[in-house]
Amino acid sequence: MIANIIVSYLINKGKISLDQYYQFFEELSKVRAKLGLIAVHEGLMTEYQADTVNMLQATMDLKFGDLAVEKGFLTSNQVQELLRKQADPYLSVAQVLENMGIMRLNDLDIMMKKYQVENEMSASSIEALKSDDIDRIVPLFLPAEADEYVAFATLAVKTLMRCVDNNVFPIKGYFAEEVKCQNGALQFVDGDPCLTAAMCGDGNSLLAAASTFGKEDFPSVNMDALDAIAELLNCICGLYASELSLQRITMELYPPEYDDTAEGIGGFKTLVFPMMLNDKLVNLLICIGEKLEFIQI
Amino acid sequence: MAKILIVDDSRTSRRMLRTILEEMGHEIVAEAVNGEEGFVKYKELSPDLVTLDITMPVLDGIQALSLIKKHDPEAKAVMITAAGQRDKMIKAVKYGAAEFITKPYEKEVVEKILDEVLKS
Repeated sequence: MIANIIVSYLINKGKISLDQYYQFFEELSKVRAKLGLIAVHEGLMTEYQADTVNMLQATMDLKFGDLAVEKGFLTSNQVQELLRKQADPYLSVAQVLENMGIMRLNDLDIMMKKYQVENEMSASSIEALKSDDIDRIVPLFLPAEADEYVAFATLAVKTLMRCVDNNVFPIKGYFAEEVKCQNGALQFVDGDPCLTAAMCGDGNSLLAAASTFGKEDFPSVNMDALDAIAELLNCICGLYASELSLQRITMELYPPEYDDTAEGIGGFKTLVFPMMLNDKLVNLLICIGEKLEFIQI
Repeated sequence: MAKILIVDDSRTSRRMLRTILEEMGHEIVAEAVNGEEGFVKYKELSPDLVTLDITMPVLDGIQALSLIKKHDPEAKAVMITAAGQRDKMIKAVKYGAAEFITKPYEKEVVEKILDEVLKS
């Protein structure tokens, strides 16, 4: 998820092209951060020292860590620690950007600082983002007063990653009384408190999600495609009810509804959690304590 | 090969289940979109097994199971449910459900459960 968040930000800032965006993800699946990059990130080596070792490596059949120790840049213990960090998701992103000649780690760190300021995030929030841990990332994109929505939103994102698109990533959520949309599905789950969950979009924004989950090539977001979205929602709500049952809380799922003629969904205070799903903007709606309805024209 | 009736309000769910069951070599004799229609088709077709989604409009899966069992106490019914419906599962067992399948479908799980129920 961190990869998507960073790369989308870089696209918005004109730092990478759309072609590079697709190439980036191809490269990301193959790459592990190099020790030199991690060492610079950790402040154990300067870029110049890492480049020196890299150049030496080109002429000598020795590992980076061994050469860095031999040159006195690192200790053996530091090399072991760097090896442990090689799977770091943020550094993997940095490595690919560096390999593609787009930017070096320092430049990426500067961009992350800008991202932090623009999104009014704390340093610890940025660390949470870099961890690529969904449980830590999702709350960062929810409004401050959305604590009781975090569990459902996190579970929804995880389910969407597993069943629809591993590259889903969230956009800042907000509260609203209603959301305009051209099509969508919703499900009411009764309990104490009850909950309504919905997924909605405009035009064909839900098409890829419907086709992937329904294992069927829908021509457009028609009622059959929305039926697939409703089933996806049903799975998310079911998993949520399952988690609550561990706390001896009983929730009853009602049949999902879907509509392609509505003007929107709403009626009560609702958390709107926008996300990019299959490269399309989709809204996940969560309303705790009330039943939402489709708003008819 | 068994004759199976699928009862589910979701077209997507019916289609996914049909694909798995047909790949197993079973014949889908009919589909129904709610419990009421499912009960009518059960009486008409007497399938070897019926799958019943629990959450359906008009007549839900448990109500349909109750009617089917009254009509045919030997009926083999497999309940289909999203996760988290423990209370409804307990109720369905009381009414004579043979087994449960949780959505989203995992082919191996569906195959195993169907084989066991049909052999019983």
